[in-house]
Amino acid sequence: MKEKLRALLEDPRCVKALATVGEAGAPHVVYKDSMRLDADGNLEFYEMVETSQTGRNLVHCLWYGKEVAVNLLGSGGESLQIKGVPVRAVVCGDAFEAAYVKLRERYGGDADLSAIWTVEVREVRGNGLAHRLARQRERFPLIGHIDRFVDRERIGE
Amino acid sequence: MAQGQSDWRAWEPGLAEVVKRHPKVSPFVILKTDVQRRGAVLTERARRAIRPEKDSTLYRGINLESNADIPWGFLLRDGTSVLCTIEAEDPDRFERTREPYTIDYVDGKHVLADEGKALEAITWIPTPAYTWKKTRKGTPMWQVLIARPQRMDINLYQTCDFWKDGGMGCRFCVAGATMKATKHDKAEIPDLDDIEDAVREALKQPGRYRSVFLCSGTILTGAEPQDDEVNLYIEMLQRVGKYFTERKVMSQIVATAFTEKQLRRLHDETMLCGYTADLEVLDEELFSWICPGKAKHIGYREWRERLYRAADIFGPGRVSSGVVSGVEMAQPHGFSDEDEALRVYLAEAENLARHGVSISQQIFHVEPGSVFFRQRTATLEYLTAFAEGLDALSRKYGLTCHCDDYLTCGNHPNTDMARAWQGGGR
Ligand code: SF4
Repeated sequence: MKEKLRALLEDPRCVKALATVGEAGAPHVVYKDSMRLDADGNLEFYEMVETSQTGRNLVHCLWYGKEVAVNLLGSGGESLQIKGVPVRAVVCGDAFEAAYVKLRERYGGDADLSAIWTVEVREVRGNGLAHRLARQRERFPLIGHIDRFVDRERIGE
Repeated sequence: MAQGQSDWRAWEPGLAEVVKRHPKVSPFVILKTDVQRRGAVLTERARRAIRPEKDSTLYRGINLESNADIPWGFLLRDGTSVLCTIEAEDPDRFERTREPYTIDYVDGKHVLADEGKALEAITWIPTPAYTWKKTRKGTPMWQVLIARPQRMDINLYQTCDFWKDGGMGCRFCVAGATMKATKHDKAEIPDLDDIEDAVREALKQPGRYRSVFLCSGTILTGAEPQDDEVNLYIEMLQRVGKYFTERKVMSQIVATAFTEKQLRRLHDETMLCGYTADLEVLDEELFSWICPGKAKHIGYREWRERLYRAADIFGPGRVSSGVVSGVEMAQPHGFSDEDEALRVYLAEAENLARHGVSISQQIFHVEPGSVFFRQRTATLEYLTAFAEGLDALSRKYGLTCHCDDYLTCGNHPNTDMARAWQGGGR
């Protein structure tokens, strides 16, 4: 699964959604194009806006050990669902400054960097429709509309 | 463990218990508070692993001179700064009521530990790029400019006229002692050309600074009292301000309480956006005992009035007052009951908040060289309850602290917590 995850994160057309909750409990979803795997297999991405809702939510989740969710959708339709916990916010130092310079070069204008966030991956699951349906069938074979299991001949169709 | 330090854990709740009792306070901030209260000792192997070219160890300022290989602060993994006393292992080191935390070096990482148990991996404050450069006059730049993780610090008058006025300095303060110990190495006011050279160089490091901070001991002289101090700030702020395209750039001074006329000059003639004048103590009688110079020359009520005027001029959330949290328990005149102290302190903090002035909590820790070096510091429970109360007041009155938060300062447990809510939204 880690290899699938790496491949998907390296797909330049992959859509990377991050869902967080803050102290009020309201869910908040954003896209994090900068998301990649670090050397330890954790998710790493930039938060560019210091006062953003995502930044505040990530702080909340780090302080209190709460999970965030990530959904990746590759250019070929493949998808992964990830659960993790924010474990680090880098706000200064060599890596921070290098990222800052890169972002300024790329976006210019008001572009800035608040923190480089690390989310420790706790769970990765396939998330494509076929995969989810097959998984449900395997775990809960009785759930679903029963006409799918009907012998068509016997009911005279 | 030094003698006499063995019993304190038995009579006050420890870190884990305080974290449990205060679910609304960040556990990282509570840990920071405890380290600031107790200090930390570097093991020998941790000390050998320090790389001064990367890990900031040099410091020349009002309250500290450090040219050894020991850092003066570090960061927790959430980005919280911990500025605290860090000492080398030494059986003869100054003994405090509670033994310090330990900083060890394990598996290639520096870790903060207590009672032999590793608690958190830490990183050091990065050494700024200007450190070993020299000014045009040949002064090493580290001697005239300090760099916190995201802030540059200029210390102007590195002593205080209250100490010169028959020892009327604040009783917890080490500015007088630091000046005495370093007077052969530094001038009372560093050369402003040197500072300007260092600031210009510092500004060439992208991503390193979010604010410019200035502080100075009190200067009582001038055409009107404190005018010389105000003029010094104005000159330095203008020298720095000319390097920016914007008129106002994130900046803060921690200064004496100035008159309305002086505050207007600072606001109108410089880049300054945040103003702090430390009451230190939120009780008039204790203020007069603990800060005799401030009481004699300005007085508690006038100091507070000037803060209110400052909030009118700079705007709410841009004016604060530092409190040396826990010094109010100093004996023989301080509170003996922490609940009573908390009640009185939060009531006065609310009074200030109503006028747009927030409180910046600094943790009282005893240092040799201060009058109070034998006092006992407050419990972690008390300090945490106060931080929680202050955070609630800031939320209630909408007092953000962008000029004095975890990045633009990093020394106040209560303002460290504002990053979880300031900026609006839900
Ligand atoms: S005002 Fe008080 S705390 Fe500040 S430098 Fe002077 S004596 Fe020290």
